[in-house]
Amino acid sequence: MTTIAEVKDVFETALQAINLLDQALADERKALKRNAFAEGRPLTDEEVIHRKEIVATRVKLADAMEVLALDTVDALENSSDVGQLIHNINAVNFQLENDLERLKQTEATAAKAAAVAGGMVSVVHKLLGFKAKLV
Amino acid sequence: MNTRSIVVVFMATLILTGCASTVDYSESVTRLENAINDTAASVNAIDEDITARQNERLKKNIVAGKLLLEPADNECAAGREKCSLTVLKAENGKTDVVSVYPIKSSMPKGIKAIELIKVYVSRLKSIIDADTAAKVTASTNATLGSLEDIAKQLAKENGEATSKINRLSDYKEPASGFIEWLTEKHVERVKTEALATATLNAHKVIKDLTVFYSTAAQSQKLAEFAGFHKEFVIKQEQFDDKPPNDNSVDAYVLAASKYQIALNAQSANPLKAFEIAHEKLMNQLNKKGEKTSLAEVASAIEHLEQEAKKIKSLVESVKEISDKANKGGKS
Repeated sequence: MTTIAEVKDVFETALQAINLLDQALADERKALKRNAFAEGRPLTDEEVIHRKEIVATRVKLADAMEVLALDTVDALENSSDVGQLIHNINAVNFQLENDLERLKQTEATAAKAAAVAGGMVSVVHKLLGFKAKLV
Repeated sequence: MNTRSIVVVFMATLILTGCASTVDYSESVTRLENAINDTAASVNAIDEDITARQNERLKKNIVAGKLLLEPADNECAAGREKCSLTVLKAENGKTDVVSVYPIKSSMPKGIKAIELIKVYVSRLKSIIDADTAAKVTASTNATLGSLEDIAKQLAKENGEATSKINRLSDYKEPASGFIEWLTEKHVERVKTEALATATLNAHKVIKDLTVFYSTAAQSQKLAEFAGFHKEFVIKQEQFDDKPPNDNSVDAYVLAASKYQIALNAQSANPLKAFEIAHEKLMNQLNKKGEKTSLAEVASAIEHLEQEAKKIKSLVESVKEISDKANKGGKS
C-alpha cells in the first residue's frame, strides 16, 4: 500500500507525462498542417492518416486523464496512512473531551463545596435554636 | 497599611503580571469553526463530483460487458434482510467484487476525516468558551458566605465583641479575590495545556490531510478537464477534415474558447489556508517556531475565511462550467 504523499507523487508524475505527450502530439499535428500550407498543397493521404492517428492518441490520452483522476482518488482513499490519520484525530478529540470533562469536574467540586457549606449554615442555625430552647 | 490592603495590593500585582488569556482566542477559533464548515462543503462537493464520475465509469463497463452487475452475497432473496447490487470483475477464471453499485461516496475516509476536523475545532472552542473559572468563583463565594455566616453565629453565641464579628467580613473580600485569582490561574493553565497539546498533535494530521484533499481536488479538476480536452480534439479534427466554411470556423472558435475556460479553471486546495491558520494558532499556544502574535493568528484566520469561501465557489463553479459547456455543446 502506498502513502498519501506517494499517491500525490505518482499522480503528478503521470500527469506530467500525459501533458508532455499531448503537447508533442499537438506540435506534430501543427507541423503537418503548416508544412502543407506553406508548400501550398493539401495534406497527402499519408499525412491525413497520420493526423487521424494523432487525434486518436489524444482522445485516448483524454480517457487516460479521467482514469488517472478517478484511480488517484481511489488510491488516496486506500492509502496506508489515511486510517492512521483518522485514528490520530480521533485521539486528539477524545483527549479534548477529557480535558473539558476535567473542567466540568472542577466546577462540580466547587458547587458541591458550596452546597455542603450552605447545609452547614442551616445545621448551625438549627443547633443554636435548639440550644436556646434548652436554656 | 492593614492586612486587607496588603492582600489586595499583592493580588493586583499578580494579576497585572499575568499572561494573555485563552479567552483572547475565542474570536479566532469561532472564525476557524465557520471556515472549516466551508472547507468541509468543498470536500463534500469534490466527493459528489468524483462519485458521480466513478458510477458513470462503472456503468459504462457494465454496459460494455467488462463488469458484472449482481446482487451482493446473501442478499435479494426471500427471507433475506437486504438487497443491494455489486459489480464483479472476472480474473483467472474467478470473480472478485469491485464495489457496491452505485457507490455512495468515492472517499468515505476522506469525508470522515474532515468531519472529525470539524469536531476537533468545535472542541477547541468548547475548551476556550468553558466558563469554569466564573462558575467556580461563584461557588467559592457562596461557600465563603456560608462559612462567614457560621463564624458570625458562633462568635455571637460565644458573646464575642461586635467589632471582632465585623472583622470577619473584612477578610472575606480579599480571600474571595485571592481564590478567584488562583482559580483563574489554575483553569487557564489547564485550558492552555489542553489547547497547546491538541493543536500540536492535530497539526501533523492536518498537514497530511491537506495533501489528501489537494490531490483529490486536482483529480477532480483533471477529470473535468479530460472531457473538455476530448471535445476540443474532436472538434479540431472535424475542422481539419473538411475545407473550412463559415460554420466550421465559428464552431472551431467556440471549441477553443471552451478549452480556454477549462485551462483557466484553478485547482482548489481546500485545507491549505486552514493548515496555515492552524499552524499560527499552534505556534502561539505552544510558544514555538517563529514568534507569532495573536494579531497574526487572527489575520491568518481572516485569510482562511476568504479562501474557504473562494474554494467553495471554485469547486461549485467546476460543475457549473461543465453544465454550461454541455448545454452549449448540445445547442
